[in-house]
Amino acid sequence: MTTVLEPPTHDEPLDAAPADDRDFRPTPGGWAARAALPIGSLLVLFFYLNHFAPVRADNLSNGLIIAVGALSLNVLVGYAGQISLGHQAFIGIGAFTSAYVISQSHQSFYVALVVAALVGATQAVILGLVALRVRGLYFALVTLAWGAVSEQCIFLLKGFTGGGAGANAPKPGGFTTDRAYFVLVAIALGVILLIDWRMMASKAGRAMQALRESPQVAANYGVNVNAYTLLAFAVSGFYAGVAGALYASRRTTVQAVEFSFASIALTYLIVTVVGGLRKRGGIVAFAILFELGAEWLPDLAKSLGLPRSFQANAGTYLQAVSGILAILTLIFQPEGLGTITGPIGKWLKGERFHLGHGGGGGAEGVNARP
Amino acid sequence: MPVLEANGISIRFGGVQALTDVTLTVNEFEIVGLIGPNGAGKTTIFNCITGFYRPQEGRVRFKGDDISDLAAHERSALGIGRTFQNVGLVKSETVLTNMLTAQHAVIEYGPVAGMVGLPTTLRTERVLKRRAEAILDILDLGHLRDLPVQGLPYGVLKRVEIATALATDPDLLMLDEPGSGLGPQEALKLGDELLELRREFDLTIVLIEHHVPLVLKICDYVYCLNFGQLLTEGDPISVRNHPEVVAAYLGEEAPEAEEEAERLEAGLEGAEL
Amino acid sequence: MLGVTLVTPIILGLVQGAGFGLVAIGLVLIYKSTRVFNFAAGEFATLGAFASYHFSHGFNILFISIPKLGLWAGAVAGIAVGAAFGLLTERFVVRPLSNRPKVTVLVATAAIATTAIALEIVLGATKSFRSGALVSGHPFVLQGVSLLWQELIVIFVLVLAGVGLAIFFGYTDLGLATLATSQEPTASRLMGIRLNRISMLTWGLAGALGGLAGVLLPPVTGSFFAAYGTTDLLIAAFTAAVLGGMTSVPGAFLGGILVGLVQNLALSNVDQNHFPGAPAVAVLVVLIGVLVVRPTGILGREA
Repeated sequence: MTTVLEPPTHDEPLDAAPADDRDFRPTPGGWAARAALPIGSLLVLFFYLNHFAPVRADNLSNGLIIAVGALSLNVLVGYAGQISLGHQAFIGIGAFTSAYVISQSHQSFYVALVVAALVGATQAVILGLVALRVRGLYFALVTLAWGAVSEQCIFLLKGFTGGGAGANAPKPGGFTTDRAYFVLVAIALGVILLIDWRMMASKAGRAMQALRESPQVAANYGVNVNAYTLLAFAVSGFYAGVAGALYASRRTTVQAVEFSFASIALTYLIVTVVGGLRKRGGIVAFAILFELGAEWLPDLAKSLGLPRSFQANAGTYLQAVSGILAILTLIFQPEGLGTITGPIGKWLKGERFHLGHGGGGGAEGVNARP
Repeated sequence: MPVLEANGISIRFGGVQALTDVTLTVNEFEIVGLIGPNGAGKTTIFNCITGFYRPQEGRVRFKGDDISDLAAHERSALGIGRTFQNVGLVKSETVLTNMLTAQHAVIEYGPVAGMVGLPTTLRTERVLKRRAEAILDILDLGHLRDLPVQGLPYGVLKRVEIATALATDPDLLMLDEPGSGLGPQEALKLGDELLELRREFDLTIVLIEHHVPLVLKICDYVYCLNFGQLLTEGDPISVRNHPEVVAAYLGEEAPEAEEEAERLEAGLEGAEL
Repeated sequence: MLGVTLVTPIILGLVQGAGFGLVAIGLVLIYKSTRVFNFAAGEFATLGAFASYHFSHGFNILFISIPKLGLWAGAVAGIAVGAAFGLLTERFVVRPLSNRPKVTVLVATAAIATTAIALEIVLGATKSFRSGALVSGHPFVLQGVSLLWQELIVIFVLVLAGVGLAIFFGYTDLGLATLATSQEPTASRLMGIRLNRISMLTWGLAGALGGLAGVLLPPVTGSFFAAYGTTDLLIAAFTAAVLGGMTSVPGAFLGGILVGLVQNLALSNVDQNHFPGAPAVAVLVVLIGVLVVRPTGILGREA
C-alpha cells in the first residue's frame, strides 16, 4: 500500500486521485494543525467580540444575516438553477412578518421567527408557481417586478407594516445586548448550514442538482421536477424568512427603505456569486468579509490619511469594487471563494490540501447546463 | 402477461407525422429489439412510452395498467428505466452521486426528513450507497465512483448510464443505442452482459440498436420501424432477412420526422435555463 | 375632474412611456444581437442623468473639476456617457462571457448595475437631483392640463428614434447585418460579418438610448437619484420589451407607451393610502399576463 516511487500505473487512467492521496492519513502534527484552525478562529472571534465596542458585534451579526440571505439565494440560483432578482421581497417580508407577530400579535421572538420562515416559504412558493410557467431569463424579470411590488406595495401596507415607517421587533429576552444577539444569530446560521448540508446530502438536494442541469434526466431518475422546483423555492423562502426575522430584531425597528433592490437583492446576489455558487463555506466567508470590509475600510482610509470624502464613502466604494469582483469571479473563477474554502474544508476532514481540486460541480458558473 | 403494451401510437409535431399507429408488445423477461433506419421514429416511440412525449393517439400499458396519463417521473417510479441516445446523466456530478440521485423514487424518507437529518435518513443513505456501489461493481465501474461525469469518455458514459438506469430499480429497461461507439467485439461483449443483467435483476429489456450481430444474438423478438410506421416484426433472423427491411436499410432515409423530434427533445432539455 | 383622473395620467403616461420605450428599444437591440438580458440598462440611463446634470451644472469630484457648461452640453455628455458605458460593458463583461450560459451574463449585468449604483452614490450621496428642462415653459393647455415643451420633446425624440431605427434595420447594410447576426450567427460570420463590431454597435447604441432617456425623463418626473434607472425605468422598460416579444423595435416602442399609460392610470385612479404601489402591481400583472398568455408579445411573431 505504501510503496513509494512506483511509476504511476496506466491501467486505470481514470482514477480520481493518485493512490497515495487516497490512502493519505494526516500525521499527529497534521491533525493538531487541523484542530488548531477552528479553535484559533473561535479564539480570534472571542477576542474580536470582547475587545471592540458592542457595535462591532452588531455589525458582525449583520454579516451572518447576509450569509443566511445569500444561502437562501444560493438554493435558487446555485442548486435549482432559478434566478431571483427580487430577494428584497423575500427578506423584507420575513422581517415585517416577524415584527408584526411580535408587536401586533404579542408573540415571542421565536414564534415570530418560525412564522416569518413559513410566510417567507409561502410567498416564495407562489413565485415558484410562476416559475413553472415562465422560464429562464423571463422569470428573472418576474422576480425583479415582484421585488418592486414588495417595495412599493407590500412593505407600505398599513395593516401589515404600519406603513413601512417603522415596525417594532425587539430582541428576545436573554439576547438583548449586541454581543448576546450575535450568539443567537450565529446559532441560527449554524442551523441553516446544517439543514443545507443535510439537504444536499439527501434526496431533495440531489433532485435539485439534477433538475438544474436537465429536467429530462431528473424526471428519468424519478424526480417530480415541478414539485422539487417548488421545494427549492420553499427552502429558499424559508431561509430568507429566517434572515428577515433576524434582520428585524437586530435593527429592532423595521423600515421599508432598508429593503431596496440595490441594498438587498443586488448585494446578496453579489455575495452569493463571489462566495461561490453551491459553495456554502465560500458564501459564509465572503458575507463576513464583505461586512468586515464595509466596517473597517473607513478606519483604514483614515489611518492611511486618505481624503475625508473617501473615508465617508468607503462602504460605497466597497460595493462598487464587489460588483467588479463578481464580474471577475464569473469570468475567471466561477467557484468564487469556494475555490479556497472547499480545499480548506477537505483538509480539515483529514485530506491533503489541494487548491483547485474542489471535486465535481459548479465549474460552469451560474448554470451548469451548456 | 405482457409487461409493456403500446397500442396504436400516433404522434405529430406540427405538420410532421412522426409515428403512425405503432403497436408493440413486450413480454416478461424478453429482450426486444427496435431497429430501423435513422429517422424511423425509434427514439420517438421511446419518448412516448417513457412519458416525455404525449402521443395524440394510442395508449401505453405497463404491467396491465394504463399509464398513458402519467408523467415521466411517475413512469420511472413504476419501474421503467431508460437510457438516452446522447447520454442522460447529471454531468457536473460524480458517478456515485448520479447513482444516488437515480434511486430517488426508491427512497422512502421524505425530502424534509432528509433536510433535518433524521437518523432513518442517514441509515437509508448508507443503504443507497452500498446498493449503488454493488451495481457499479457488477458493471466494472467501481473505480470511477468519485469522478465527475463530465470528462469521462463516451463509451464509459453509456455504461454509467446503464448503471443509473438499473439504480432506478426498473422492471423494464429501455436502452437507446447502448452499443453506439463500441466496436463489433465490444458490442458482442455488451450483449453477454445484458443477458447477465437480465438474469441478475429480473429485467425485461427493450433496446434500440444498430449493431445487427448484437440484435441477432440477444433479442427474442424484433420490431422494425420505417418512416414512423411498423415495417415488420418477428424473430430476429426473419426480420433481418425481410426484403423490405433490407430495402429500408439500403434505401432512402426519412430525416424530417426524426429531426423534428430531436429538435423538440433538445427543447425539452431547455436550451437556456 | 376628467383632467386629473384621465388627461393628466394619459399625457404623463405617454411621456414616461416614451422614455420606457427608449430604454426598451435598447434592451431589444441587445437581445437581438447578443441574446442577453441587460439588467444594467437602467443604470445606463441613471449615469446619463448624472452626467448631464453634472456637466451642465459643473462639478468637482475627487481630482476632476469641470466648469458649468449649460443644459445642451450636459445633454450631449449624458448621451455620450451612456454610450461609453454600454461599450465598456460589451467589451469587458459581455464579450468575455459570450460562451457562457445566458443566466451568467444576466448576473454579470446585474453586477454592473451594482457597481454603477455605488458610483452614483459617491457622485451624489443618496439625495435627489432636480434637473432642468432643455426647453422650459408649456405651449399647450388641454382640458385644463398644461403640456410642457419637455414632454413634447420626449415624445418627439422617441418617435424619431423609433423611425430612425426602423430605417436602420430595414434599409442599411449594417442594420441588416445586425439582424442577420441575431438569427444566424455562424452563417453571418462565414459571410464576413464581424460579430464583435455588431455587438459593440448595439451595446453602444443601447447605451446612448439609455443615456438619452436619462437626459430627457428626469425633468418631466422632477428628479433623479442613485439607482433611479433601475427602480423607475428598468422593470417598465423590460415589460415594454416583453410586450414587443423582446425582438421587435416597434413592439418595444408601443409596449413602452402602453406600460406608461397603465402605470399612470393606476397611480391616479387607485387610492395610495389603501392600496400603495398600484403602478408596480399593475406592471407585474401585465408582465406575468403577457409571459403566460402571449409569450411572443403583442405584435406576435418571433423575429
